[in-house]
Amino acid sequence: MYSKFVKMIVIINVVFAGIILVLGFIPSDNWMADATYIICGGAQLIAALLIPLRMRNVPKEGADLAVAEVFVQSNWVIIALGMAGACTYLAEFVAPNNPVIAYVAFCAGLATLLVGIFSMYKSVKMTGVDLMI
Amino acid sequence: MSEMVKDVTLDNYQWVDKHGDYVLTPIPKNETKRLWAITFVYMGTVADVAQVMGGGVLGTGFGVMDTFIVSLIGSAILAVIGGLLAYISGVTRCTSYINFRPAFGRMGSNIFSTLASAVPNMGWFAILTWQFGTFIHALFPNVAFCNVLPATIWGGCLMALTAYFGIKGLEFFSYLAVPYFILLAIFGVMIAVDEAGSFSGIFDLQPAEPATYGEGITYVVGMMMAMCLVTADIGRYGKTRWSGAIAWTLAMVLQALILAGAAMLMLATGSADVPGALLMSGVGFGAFLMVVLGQWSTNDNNLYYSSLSVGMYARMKRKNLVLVLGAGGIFVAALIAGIWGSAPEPFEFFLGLMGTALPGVGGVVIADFFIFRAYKGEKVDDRYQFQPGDELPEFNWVGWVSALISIIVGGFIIKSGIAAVNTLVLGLVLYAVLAIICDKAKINMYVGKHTLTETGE
Repeated sequence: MYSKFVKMIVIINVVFAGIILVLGFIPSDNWMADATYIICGGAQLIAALLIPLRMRNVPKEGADLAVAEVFVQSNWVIIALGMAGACTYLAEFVAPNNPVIAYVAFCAGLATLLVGIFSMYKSVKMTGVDLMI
Repeated sequence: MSEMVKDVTLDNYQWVDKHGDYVLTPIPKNETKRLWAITFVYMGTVADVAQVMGGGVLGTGFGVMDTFIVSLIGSAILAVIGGLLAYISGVTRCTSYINFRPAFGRMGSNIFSTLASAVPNMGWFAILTWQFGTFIHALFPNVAFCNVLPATIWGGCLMALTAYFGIKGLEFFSYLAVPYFILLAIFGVMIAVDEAGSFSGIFDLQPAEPATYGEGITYVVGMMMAMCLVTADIGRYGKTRWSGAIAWTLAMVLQALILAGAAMLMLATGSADVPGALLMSGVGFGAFLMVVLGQWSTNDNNLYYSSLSVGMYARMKRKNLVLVLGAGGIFVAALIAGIWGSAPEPFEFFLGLMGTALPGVGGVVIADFFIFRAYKGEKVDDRYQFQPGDELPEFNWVGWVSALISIIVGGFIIKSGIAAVNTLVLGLVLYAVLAIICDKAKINMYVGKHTLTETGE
């Protein structure tokens, strides 16, 4: 049950990271905007994809709590990246020529942050995991 | 009594954690943390505005390539010193101050831990709190709540809050601050490249008044030396004896990157005030977040280390000690804010003093654990394995003499080389030589005796 929840959250995170990453490859007159989207989206993607990889090493017995511990640790990084992105994408120095791109990136960053917080809450509810491992 | 005993699973754990957070006792195995968590807490201490400003200061004296070299050498020195001290805590699972006991004696460790940790870390807490107030005021000059004095006070209260919750509080803020600071270092480089016109262009930028490598390395080492000497306070939570050392080394890699990124930004924009430069470059709310997260994730560590240090002899719960020390630190920060406003002199003076004087203490502890104990034939796993009922010396005069001579000679008399390294090597060599001579000549190094109780007192 909890593993399915984690997989769903990973897929959502991969989608958000993918959106930000794709925005970085849309040609813009501000190279710093492109670079920021690629760096943030790439980092978010790696952090999300590390979760299933790290889950492979979790032993079967007491699996939910062990999975939650792995998930919570990686999720902190995703939350931090989402927060950093949401605070940066609308900043002047990374403003692309098309403001819609910045707003889409901002929404993806904010959504990453909110999904991260929600999944932390659910993890504690479902497994009783300690948020600071 | 039963309320004071933690839920420990170690069969042979004979200690009672009276003051909380294992101030005087080893960490039980079931309370240890993964490498990941320890790395983030260490990186949280590095990810702060003082580091970024320090990088900016390096940019006033060095070109980009030289900044890289100076940052790498300085961080490598810190990695070795802090790594060795963290390794000791991996073996003992005790705080820095307990680990000071064999080298300085029980009373000696109380005094030296106060000098090497409580005083500098409380000083750092006050200075970073004051700095927080000045940054917030610079970012929001027209908001009354964000004037230097009020911002100093509310900022200090927030920082004390996470220190109150101990390692979990530190971990929480580090998780948020570290990824963000890595991004900011990258932003700094991006802005610098943009200002210089090309990536190769930033390598052509040169400072107006070049500094020497020795000055630069001393500056880098001085910035983190107070923290470096107490790496054991976090390293004791490591699952293996290498955890703390590896985590600290990774944190030093991050430090080198942050310093280099900030120096590039300074060279490109001409302003050593990196948060200001980021704000001018249009980072906006990100600059504010950098100040808040950066100062917070570092300064709660300072207060935490101080509370562990003073907790060695203060008959008080560690959490209450955080409140008392936090109130004191905020008061000092408010005084600084009232007297100096936003002048950098106290900050620079403090950095210089710490960098030159303190490494001798670390050198003595390293010499006792790695050289003297090896000479005595003790296996690494058997060193510093304290148990209730053990007898400890009140003073180890060899440790005192070695530390004091190294601080005076290395820090203030020898004028060549890197002062911090001079002090450390002098402390290490003096202690190793004196201790071995005393042992061979059957001269007693220890004065007085104290029997450890089950509470570690």
